[in-house]
Amino acid sequence: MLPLVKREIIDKKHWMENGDFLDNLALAQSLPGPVIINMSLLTGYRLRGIKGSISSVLGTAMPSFVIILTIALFFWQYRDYYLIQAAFMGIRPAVTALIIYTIFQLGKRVFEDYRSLLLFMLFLSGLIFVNLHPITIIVVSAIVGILWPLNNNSKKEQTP
Amino acid sequence: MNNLNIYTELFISFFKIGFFGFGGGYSMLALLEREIVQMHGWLSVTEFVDIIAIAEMTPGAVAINSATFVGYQIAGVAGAAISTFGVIFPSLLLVIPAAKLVTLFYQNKNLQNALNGIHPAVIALIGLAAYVIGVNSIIDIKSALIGVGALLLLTFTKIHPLLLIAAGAVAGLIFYL
Repeated sequence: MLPLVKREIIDKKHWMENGDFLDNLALAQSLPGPVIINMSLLTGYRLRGIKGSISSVLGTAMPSFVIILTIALFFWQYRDYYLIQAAFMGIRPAVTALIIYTIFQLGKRVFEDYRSLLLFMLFLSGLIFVNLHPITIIVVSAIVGILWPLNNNSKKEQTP
Repeated sequence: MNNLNIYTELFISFFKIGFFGFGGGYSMLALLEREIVQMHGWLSVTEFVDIIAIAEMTPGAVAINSATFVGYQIAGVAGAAISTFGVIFPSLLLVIPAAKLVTLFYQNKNLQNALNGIHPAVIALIGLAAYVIGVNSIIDIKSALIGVGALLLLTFTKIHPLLLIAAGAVAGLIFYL
């Protein structure tokens, strides 16, 4: 979705320079919440203040809201149909593969610091075997990061 | 079920997911799974996986799509609206102040270290999502083959996710009919 955002904001509407866009993106990725929502808020705020940010967040959220609601209202009932069932039997492993692939991609960058890999394995074991809540893991990792800073070569360090 | 109660519960659950949802869509799946499937039992694991597949196929952020869908399943259109608002609300509260204090934000060493420290946790959350979804999706040799095939396609051909899901659907129809 991000290439689409970049094309619209920079190339078509000329609302922002590339550098400002990257600064906003770094900030949007650092904050919690859907990145695309954070990006909309930042872009809208930069152009027209609070009103701008509310308009752009509504603009981003509305299409998916309507599309998903349409699917929920009209198509979900056909989920038990045997053709759909068979298709989903193949779609589910494909979705699993997509998620595992994301781990490889993120890991390549983050695991350059061996401590990150160690923490990752510790956290994942805690989540799977001890059934720790994801929020606990997030809070613990933030505290560990303050006490024992990691050297992740993140995008953030390139921005002022 | 008390309607007011269910709306409040949906809002609180999705607010938590938005507030602690660092690192984008896939890490939010772990939060979603814990809140929606495990704690509240609002969806079964297979329903959860299928909603993620649908969210993956439709435009928009996975977290928002799941919020809309789950909200609708639990409490109709009002539930969908409340859940979607709940997942966006933390961003509304945090993003503008962060933009105003951006210099402070980047100069605060502790904050930067905390955000860096979250990276391994984010990947672990994605790992949990992969584990939960994998265990429930890869249930026999055929689905394992589809999964491995999909992973190889992603690694070697940089196939578009949408095309990969379409290929998965075709493979499912071939193997399971």
